[in-house]
Parts: sequence; structure tokens; C-alpha cells
Amino acid sequence: MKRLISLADAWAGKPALALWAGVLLMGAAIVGHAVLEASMVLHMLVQFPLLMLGAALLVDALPATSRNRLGSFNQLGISGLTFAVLISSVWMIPRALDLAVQVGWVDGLKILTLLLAGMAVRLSWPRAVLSLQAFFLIGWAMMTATIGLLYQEVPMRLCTSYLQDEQTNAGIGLVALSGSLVLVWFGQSLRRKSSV
Amino acid sequence: MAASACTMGFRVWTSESARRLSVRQAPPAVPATALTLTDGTPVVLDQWLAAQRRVTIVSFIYTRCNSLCTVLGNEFQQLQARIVELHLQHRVQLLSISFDPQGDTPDRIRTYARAMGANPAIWQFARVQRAAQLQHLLNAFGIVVIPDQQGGYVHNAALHLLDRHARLVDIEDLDAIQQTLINAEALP
Repeated sequence: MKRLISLADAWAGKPALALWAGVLLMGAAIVGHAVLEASMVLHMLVQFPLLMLGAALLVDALPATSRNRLGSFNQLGISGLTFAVLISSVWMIPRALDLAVQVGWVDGLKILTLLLAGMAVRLSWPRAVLSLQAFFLIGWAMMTATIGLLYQEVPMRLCTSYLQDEQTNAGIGLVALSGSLVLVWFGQSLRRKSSV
Repeated sequence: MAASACTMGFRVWTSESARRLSVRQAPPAVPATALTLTDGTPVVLDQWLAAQRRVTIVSFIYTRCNSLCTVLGNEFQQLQARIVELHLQHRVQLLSISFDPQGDTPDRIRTYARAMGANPAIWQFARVQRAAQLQHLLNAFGIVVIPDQQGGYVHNAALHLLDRHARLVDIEDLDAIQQTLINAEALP
């Protein structure tokens, strides 16, 4: 996540580029929703990140003053990160995934809340001190990896919309994603510490 | 709040348990779907069920299926045997509804029923008369059918218990034969 955000930092000073990149990612996630949501793996591990990254890039396109104003109620990033973790956990509930696939307005709600979560992470992460980042990232990763293990181990289909194989693969993906984000963050924090 | 709504107050995590809980809380009436029975008799589902004066255990099948529906076939064969054994045929009947009207022609349904050893007085098979009505029927029961990777289908198979007024009152696991019969007998 840190690397993604430092990637996003590279957009600083190029708001138009960030805007277009953000719109492109979000557009791909929304226009391609039928294709992405037909697979549990693409739904959770491609569409969700595209929506969150796209929204984070939109934040980068904002002038620094409005970004700071948005941050005034989010001093240490705690509110924003809490919000993002809550949204992320709701959309990992099997029934929530099914409803998003089967009911149009639920899918709309999912897209909207994931966009907001992406913005919240982008606004909050730089404000959070290292220990807070550890708290939120590791907490989120433990939850996600546990759900990922469950998806792999449960001998039944948890979603009526998806086959068992898809569920297993999505589970593997969630464990891989949460593990690698923690590793990347850990590596970056170490490097930052040693360079100080 | 969203999490609470989605999990019906943190009681269910999957759509399957949500649909089971919600039919127990408020049994929905089955729709007036036009069906044809094993011998080709046209019926309207809710009227036919109400006219039967029996409780009905319903399952959804497609005859090409060689995994779950074969299990369902076996479960229904066992149910039929238990119904005969316990002399429940005037109180309980079985109905298998095909969700594949293209593949399951009336002929195929008849052949399948014969192969299953279905006694028409206890166990009927049905297919929708108009394919356009199928989705409505599946929605009413909460059945989601998705294609598998071998040209067949996967669906949330279960035993659906309907009372004498054609209301869906209970949904049990496929292998919960004993429990479903006990629940069927307990219905007024």
C-alpha cells in the first residue's frame, strides 16, 4: 500500500494526469463490472482495488488546499482508516458479494463506498504515524487473510453466485494480497527508518 | 448498520442462510407459474399445490446433471421410500421442478422419472410451460443457477417444504431427510 501511495505521490504536480489515470481506472472497474463480477477473483481482487486506486488518484488531482481542508476532521487519519477498514470488511461478507452481483442498487452502493474508502485511505495514510499505520494495516491484513483462509477451507459454496473453485482462488488471492501489502509496507518503513 | 442489514442482525453471513431464515420468519406464497407435470398435465403451481391438500417437498433439478441432482434424485428416492413406509402419502408429496426447460423436454422428464422409480401418486416432476416464467419462479424460491465449467449448472440445491396453503415455510439441507419429514408432519 505504501508503494502504491508513493506511486501516487509521483502524480504530485501533475493533477491532470492523476485525474485522467483515476478516471480511467474507475471507468474500467465500472464499465467492466459485468465481466469482473462474473468471477469472484476478478470481483474482489481486480474490481475492488481498481475502484480504490482510481478514487485515490482523484484525490491526488485535487489542489493541496482542498486536500488539507478535507483532512481537518481526520487529524491523524484515524477516522478515514477506520471507515476504509469497515467498508472493506462489509464487502468481504459472502452475502454482500452475492447481493452486489444480483441486485443493481447494492452494486451501486458497493462501488460508491469503495470509491469513498479509496479516497479515505489516500487522505489518511500520510497523516497516520508509523504505529497507527501498523495498527490499521496489520489489523486489516489479519482479517483479510482469515477470510481468505476460510474461503479456501470451507467445504461449501459461500456465495450462490460463484463456484467453489472461484471461492478457493479468491481465498488464495486475499491471503496473497494481505500478506504482500504488509511485507511491502514493512520494507518501506525499514528503508525510511534507515534513511532518517 | 450496513453490516447489520446485510447479515440480518449478524445472524447470517451467506445468502443461503439468509434465505432460510427469511422464509421461516415470513413464509412467502409460491407464484402462479404454469407448469406441466410428468404425464403432461398442465397445472398452475399455487392452485395445484393448494388443491393437493398435502404438504409438498420441492427440489429443483436438471436431468443432465450428474453431480448434485443425482444426489437430489437419491434423496428423493429415499424420501419416497420413507413416505411409503410411514404411510404418509396422503399427507406429504414430492415435486421435482426442472430449471432447464430447453434440455428437459417432456420426454426426457418422463424417462428420468421412470429411471428414478418415481411413483406418480407421491412424486411428480414438472417443467415450466414458458421459459420466460422460469426466472420469476426461481426468484420466488431464492434459487440461483450458474453455469459450471463443464457445460452444466451449479445451484443452491436444498429441500423446500411447502405447507397446504402453498407457502414456502422451511428450507433444509439435501441430506436432512429425517428432519424435513418431521417438519412436514408437524405442519397443520
